[in-house]
Amino acid sequence: MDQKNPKPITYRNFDSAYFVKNLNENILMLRTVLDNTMDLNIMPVRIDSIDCAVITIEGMVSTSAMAELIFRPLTELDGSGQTPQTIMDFLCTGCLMSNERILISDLGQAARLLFSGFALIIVDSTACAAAFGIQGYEKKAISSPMMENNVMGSQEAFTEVVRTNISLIRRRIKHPSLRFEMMQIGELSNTDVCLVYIRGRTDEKMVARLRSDLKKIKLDCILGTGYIMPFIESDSPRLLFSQVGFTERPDMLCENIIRGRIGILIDGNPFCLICPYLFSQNFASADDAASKTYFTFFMKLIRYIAFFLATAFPGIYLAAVNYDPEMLNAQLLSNLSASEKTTMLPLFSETLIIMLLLEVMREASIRLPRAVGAAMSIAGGLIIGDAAVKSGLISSPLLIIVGITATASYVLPSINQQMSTLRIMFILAGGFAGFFGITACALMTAANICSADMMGIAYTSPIAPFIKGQAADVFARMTFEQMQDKKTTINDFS
Amino acid sequence: MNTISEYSLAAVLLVIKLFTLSMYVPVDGENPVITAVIFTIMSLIKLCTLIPLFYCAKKQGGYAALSGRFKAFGCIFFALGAAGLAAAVSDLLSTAIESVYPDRYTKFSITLIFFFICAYIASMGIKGFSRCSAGALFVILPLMLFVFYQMRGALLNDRLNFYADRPLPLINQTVKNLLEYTVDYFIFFGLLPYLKGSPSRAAGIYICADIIIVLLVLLTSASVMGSFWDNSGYIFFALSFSTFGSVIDRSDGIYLAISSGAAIICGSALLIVLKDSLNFFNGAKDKNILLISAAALTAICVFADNLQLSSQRLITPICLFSAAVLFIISCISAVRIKRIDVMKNERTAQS
Amino acid sequence: MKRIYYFLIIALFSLIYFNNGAPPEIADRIMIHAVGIDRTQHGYNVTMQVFSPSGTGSDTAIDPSLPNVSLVSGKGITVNDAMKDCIIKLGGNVFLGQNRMIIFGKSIDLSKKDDIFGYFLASSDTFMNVDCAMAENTAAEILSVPIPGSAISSEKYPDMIEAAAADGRCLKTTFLDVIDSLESHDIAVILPIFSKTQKQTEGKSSDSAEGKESGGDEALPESELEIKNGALIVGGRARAQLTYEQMGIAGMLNGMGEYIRTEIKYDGVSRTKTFKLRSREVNVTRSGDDIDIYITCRLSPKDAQIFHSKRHDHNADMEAVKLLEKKSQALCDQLCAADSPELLNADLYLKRYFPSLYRQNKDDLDRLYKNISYHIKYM
Repeated sequence: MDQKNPKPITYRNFDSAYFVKNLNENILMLRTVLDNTMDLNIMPVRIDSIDCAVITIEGMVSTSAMAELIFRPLTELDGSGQTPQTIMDFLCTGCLMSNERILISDLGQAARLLFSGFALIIVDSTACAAAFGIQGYEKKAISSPMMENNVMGSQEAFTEVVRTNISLIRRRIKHPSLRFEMMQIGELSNTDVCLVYIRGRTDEKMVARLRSDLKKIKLDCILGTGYIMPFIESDSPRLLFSQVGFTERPDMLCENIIRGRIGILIDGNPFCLICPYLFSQNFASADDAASKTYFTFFMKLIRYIAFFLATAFPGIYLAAVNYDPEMLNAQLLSNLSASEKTTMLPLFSETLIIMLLLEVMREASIRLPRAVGAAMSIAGGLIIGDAAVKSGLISSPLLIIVGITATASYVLPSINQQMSTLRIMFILAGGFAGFFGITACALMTAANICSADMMGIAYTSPIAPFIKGQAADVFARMTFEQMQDKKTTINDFS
Repeated sequence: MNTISEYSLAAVLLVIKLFTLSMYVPVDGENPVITAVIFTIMSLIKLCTLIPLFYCAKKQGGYAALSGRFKAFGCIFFALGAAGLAAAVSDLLSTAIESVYPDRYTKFSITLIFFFICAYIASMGIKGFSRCSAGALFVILPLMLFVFYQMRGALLNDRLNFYADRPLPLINQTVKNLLEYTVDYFIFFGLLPYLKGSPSRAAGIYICADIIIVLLVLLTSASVMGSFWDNSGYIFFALSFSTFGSVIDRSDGIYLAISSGAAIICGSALLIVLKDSLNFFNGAKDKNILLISAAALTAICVFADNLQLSSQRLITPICLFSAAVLFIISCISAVRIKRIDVMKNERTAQS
Repeated sequence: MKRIYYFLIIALFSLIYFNNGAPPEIADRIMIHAVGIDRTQHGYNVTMQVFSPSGTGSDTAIDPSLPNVSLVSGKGITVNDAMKDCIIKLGGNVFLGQNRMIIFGKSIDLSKKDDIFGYFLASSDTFMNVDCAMAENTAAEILSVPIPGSAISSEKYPDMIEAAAADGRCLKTTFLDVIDSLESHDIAVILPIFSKTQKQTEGKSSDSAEGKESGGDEALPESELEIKNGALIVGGRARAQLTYEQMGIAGMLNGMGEYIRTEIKYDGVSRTKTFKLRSREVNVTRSGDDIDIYITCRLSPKDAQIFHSKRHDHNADMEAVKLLEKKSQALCDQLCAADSPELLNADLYLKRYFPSLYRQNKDDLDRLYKNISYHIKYM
């Protein structure tokens, strides 16, 4: 049935335009909406004197699949006395031309499907089109994780294609309760965003709330996880740490969704969001499940110590040396004093300068081309390590502090931003006000962390509020025997 | 919902008690054993004064006297009390730190930033604040125990006795001294509206832990109490200059951190009470009430400091007055509730 | 809105810091490691060991083969004036927070609290647990002795005291104990005495290997410090000089010491025995005017093995314990005869057991002391 289409149809109002029964008019509408873009391919074909057209976007479909799955069946139809309706019926129900087949009637969906790698077949005298998913665009293969490396776990990471990621998850949880909900977000980008959760484990209210938060996003495009996170966190600008985590590992995502959390996959981004996320999860790793419980406890302790070293250690060092030198051991203090006598700047300035240099080097190491990577490491080590000390710019004890801090900061890459910011804050606090400043900064940070909660679950659970059965998981890992007896989920923390 | 559990409230009160303990100034010739006994008796009396409140809470989850027309009076009382005590806490901390470290800190510098730090923590909400306090308690207690372990030789040694040159005047002075440090009573009532559990349990946990910690501190400080204290007069800093550690040489930096942290928690609790009281009058519309209160209190304290007025003198009268008023209010509420109960029973019997 | 707190706080902190609110830099602090105080004709002489690193500018900041300290001395009418004199000579910010030792000269009268301790009590850097000792002659002489084996030689003074205390040869006394004893006349302290001995050692000259004539024995003068005795101080005044054995006994009876040492002759062989105090019980009884203080100490040999058959010198240990008991009793009787039982903390025991009696006789305690006797038992 013809629907009343707005006139004129442009890229602004095409969502409310529908196909008409005239093939040429449909093609014209499509060309107008897509502004005759050069990658629009329209192949007219005649089957039993009935005009049809196969429409694709260049580079998005697989040409071999096109030939095999679309053209061959269509050409075999010729000469068998077809009508437009029989052809459309054949396309919609009588053949298996691809895994995905959708009957569409509006231009909005037609455009989105074309740009998602579908081929549209329009038949004259039918006010609809059949869309077949024969995606053939170039995509990256499944590779190893870049940030979340491990020794004994899986070496697969998510890719940029959401459907590949879905298959990675589906392969690991072969149960019908695993649900995927796809939606398109972004007024221009129409990015595929997929909610992943296990029915029965996840709180339905949480899912509904997340769904509605995502639908409220009115951005033009969603190109990564960072675009979505502020909309699903509560009180995002105020908080230092994010209540939404991310992972590039399918096994980590599966572990989280089994515990009742919700994953958000975004097309075009190899990271998956996890919510709600607890503070203690930042200190977990994929190797925890593969190690003995006692070793997991030890490694978690190391990570907590690394967090302390990476954030507060330089500030505490500064506070102790400048404001409370009597706290330090006499020999250590004497060494520090002797080393500082040769430097030209006050210790506070030295610390700030070297920390800023560290951030510059870190940024450079992310962006530099691989070819000059080795040279950069040598230059950085020589300049900061050796020459700076010998020239009296900084002292060697401070260099050790910086080295420890830098090494410790790589133990927890997921909270790198927060650690860098906190480090500078602690240095300022320790430099300006000694241990009073350190205490104030620590309390303000702790209050900030403790005040976060998402959907009724406190960010600092299960330590504050204290939940007896779960608190041990913060510092170690439940044994697998305990896990099979107590199937705990995130809802136990609310 | 913005509520806290009994354990959280007890944790907040314990941290505040650590602050008052660190600022304790012994009287001349004080005997710590006598002080410990007096303190234990006073704690039990304090617990008994809360019985009417527990009765009210059991009956109807609060106390009736502060509802309706009494609420405005209650809010004015709490606002003034909280502001006065907050100023006193800031004055106490900044004076202590300046007297112990005159070349490193000044009273003006601490006063200038203290309220803003407290306001920030208070702005994190009651839940954030209570969790932060609980976390602070779990960090402070092991630090204190670690440092006090080094003073274990002072426990139960020959110097512990009940002797006093003039017992009655010493007891009198000690009681007056201890009364100055009852700010926990005021804060208990101030944070009561947020409590979702039983106030009797919160008070019980707090007072038991309080007695243990205070006894520990008093008995381990026997070697310095009454015979020596440092420039500031504050027992904590006196202790800090007397400990010698194997890991950390001198632990006065740790004591400074503990005292400052506990003072900030105390100040934040008072600012929360102040904010709630002021919100009653402005209809909770002004989101910047904490920042404004912090700025106002800073200005008042700096001004008072320049005029060399000490707001520490406010502590005792505010604490005593608040304890008396709150006790009276609790009694009135309990009596009213009991009368209402009796009338209900009579009506039920008649019908 | 919340970020404004951060900006405000940082701005205010910076304002204070950059307006003369910054503490002195560590490089600008002059670290004092040991202080010696001597009485002179016109006042006091203070000698300080100041940290002077010898390896600054090289790869290692401190050369451990050198003392890394220099001496500074100053004179004044009070110790405060003398310290100020030293500070003027040094220039800069003097830092007493890492002071390891205060040594008093022989002739010093510690009862003049304000004259001697005024500077330390007024300084916020002073640490109450710093070790105190006395010098056999002058403190300056003791501080001028270089002690090898440590990057900072003043670390050796407390180490020597610790080692001696662990062998029952002396007691560790802190500044707090000294001040406490000045505040009340009922607390006694025992200060270890450092003395300097000259030792000459004979050694073959290393030149003999190069063919040079070794002209007989070559003497290498070696200064040594040792702790031999202790000074018993009550109310700031030195009341007696104690041998190391007596120091151990007094410390054990006072509750200040943990080890005790004695020499015995058993089976014709001289040997030394060191015992560790396991437990100490004090009981005070009164019958009429007589007051008896019973002190029972349980001792065990310091080098006792956990598992052993009957020690071959178990009898020697028992003999040593009996001897110690006799000596302890003798010391107590001596002090009681001199009407000075307060030197063994008699006042504290009276306050604990008979507070009302003590209070009644507070103004004339000598009357009480006449009737006090000690009964010592070692097991």
